[in-house]
Amino acid sequence: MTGWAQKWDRKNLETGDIWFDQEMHQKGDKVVLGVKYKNDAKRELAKVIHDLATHPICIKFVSTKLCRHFITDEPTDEMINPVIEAWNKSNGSLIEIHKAVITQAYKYNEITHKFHPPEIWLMQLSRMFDLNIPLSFEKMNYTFKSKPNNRQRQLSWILREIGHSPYRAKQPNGWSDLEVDWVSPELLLRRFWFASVELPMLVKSGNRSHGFILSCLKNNFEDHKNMASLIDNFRFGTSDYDLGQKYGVICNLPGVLKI
Amino acid sequence: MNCTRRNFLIGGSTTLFLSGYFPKISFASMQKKNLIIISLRGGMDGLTAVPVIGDKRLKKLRKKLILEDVLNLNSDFGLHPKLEIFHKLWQKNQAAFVHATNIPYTGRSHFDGQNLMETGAHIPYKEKTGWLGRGLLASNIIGKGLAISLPMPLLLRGVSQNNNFFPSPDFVETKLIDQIYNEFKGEHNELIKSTLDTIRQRPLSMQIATDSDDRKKLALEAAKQLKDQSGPRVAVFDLDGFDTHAAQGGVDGAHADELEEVNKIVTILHENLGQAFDNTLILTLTEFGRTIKQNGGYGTEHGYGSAILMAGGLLKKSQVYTDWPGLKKKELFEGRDLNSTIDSRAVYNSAMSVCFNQDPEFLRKEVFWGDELPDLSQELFKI
Repeated sequence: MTGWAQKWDRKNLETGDIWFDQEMHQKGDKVVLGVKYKNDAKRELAKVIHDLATHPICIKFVSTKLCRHFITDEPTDEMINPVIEAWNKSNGSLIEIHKAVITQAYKYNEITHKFHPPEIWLMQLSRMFDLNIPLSFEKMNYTFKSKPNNRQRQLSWILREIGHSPYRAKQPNGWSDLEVDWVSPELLLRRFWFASVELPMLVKSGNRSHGFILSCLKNNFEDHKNMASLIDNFRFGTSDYDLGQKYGVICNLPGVLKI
Repeated sequence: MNCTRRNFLIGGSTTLFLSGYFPKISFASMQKKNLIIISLRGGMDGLTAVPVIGDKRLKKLRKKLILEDVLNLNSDFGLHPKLEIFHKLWQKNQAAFVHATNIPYTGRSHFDGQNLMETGAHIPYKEKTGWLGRGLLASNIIGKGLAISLPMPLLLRGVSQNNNFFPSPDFVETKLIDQIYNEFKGEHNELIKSTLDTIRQRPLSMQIATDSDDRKKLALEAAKQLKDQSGPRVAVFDLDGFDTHAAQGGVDGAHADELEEVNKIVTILHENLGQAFDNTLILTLTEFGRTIKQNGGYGTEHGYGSAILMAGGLLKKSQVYTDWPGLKKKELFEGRDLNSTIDSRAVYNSAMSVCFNQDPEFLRKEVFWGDELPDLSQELFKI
């Protein structure tokens, strides 16, 4: 299948076009997973990828990974099967597969309590409290001619500090999806640090009131009254420090860490 | 070792029946023994760290990488000048080296190799726990591992309640942790709760924010913790950057800079462990060595056999322990790398048996699936 290469030079991005170099192609028949592929130049690879992607074991593997990410570390067959079914029925439509995963996640939500890895946790907080990160697409969009500015780099800095740097995932498997790998004293402390020190600076100026936090809790949690009572002592403060006292507690409660 | 009532009684009865000699040993075994592992990611070049002296072939193949002046170890081996502390400790029988050694992995992938150096297994990604974690678990030493890194390294996984230290950019108020502590209830929250316990028991020195890139401070804190009789018994450091495909250098250069980092950590540990250094073993760990021949960019490629740098008072004597395979073409692995004649897992198994007061046979079965790993405790360590 060899012969595919990137088209790039010093001026252009490495992620540019790819092309097929006939000279670099290994000729002859090839066997992958017991299936013979006749020499067919640049069309070979597409055939193999098609066969691998529709292989039942591949479908089960990816479905299991999706369930592990959204539901629990060790998903059962009952959890996975509907996803496999959606996959087969829709001939691999990503929308249908993910609909099935989300349905399953809702179904088991109250039993499994998957502990969120730092990045998911951060994104949940961002939505829940309408934070100033991540930046909009327009603001993130930059040409590769200059270095990204501090605001553009802020999110990756925060992710690195809470232990989930987008650029430091261990290869080839990437970051772990297992709960236990995200629980250590320093990793938890970093979340306390982020919520109580950094997060207040990311709250939009119109949202610094106590009432705003209460309404967010109400929109997102059934036991919002209980949660609100934990920060009642700080209800009058709106300084960064006061907000830190409140968000520090709220963001690290079991229901928010989701465990 | 925990001095439980039962241990005390056994110790007591021995003193009754035997004279002078035994109480001393039982006193020594009461002292906490520390095992410190420094992971050297990227493939540490054993032939740069502990070069073989006067080998014409090496000189020919590595024209640009030959060290001009090495520190003298013995008639056969020298030491990289940046590894000063090891040379100093060598004079006091507190430094030694195992050479031509590696984990049984002959592929040349960092991903696979680093996974295997931590799991101690044969098939990459198959095991989800590290050999050190399993060794602690088998020895029933729980909650005594300290990682000097942010995510818990694979090496220490497999035993619960390990601690890690990598200070955040700012201080976290203790009040905050106390406030949420009671919200974590029930079986499912057990892991978080026990982690919060660990955090709450931290000394003040571990709560102060600092620049976590400053290895000096990290090593200093590790030494402080390890010195404490009730503190951790195992510490893991993580260094990367040993993958010097270009401009590897000799006395100075990319590889030398990395060795200097190792030297810095060991120096700080030695200075600050004080008396506890006598009951400590420091061992390095890497995924593979590097090719004998320099490449076009004056670097080296991924190889096979490497060396283990060792320091600490629990070493038997200063020595380069090796079954030297030679550097002639036919003696090399696949005609290009220093061979490995000692399975490095045998060294780690023996080190664990010494530091955890365990039978090496037992550990070999519990940790390394009964793999053929000779006991090297007699040769390498004080037992």
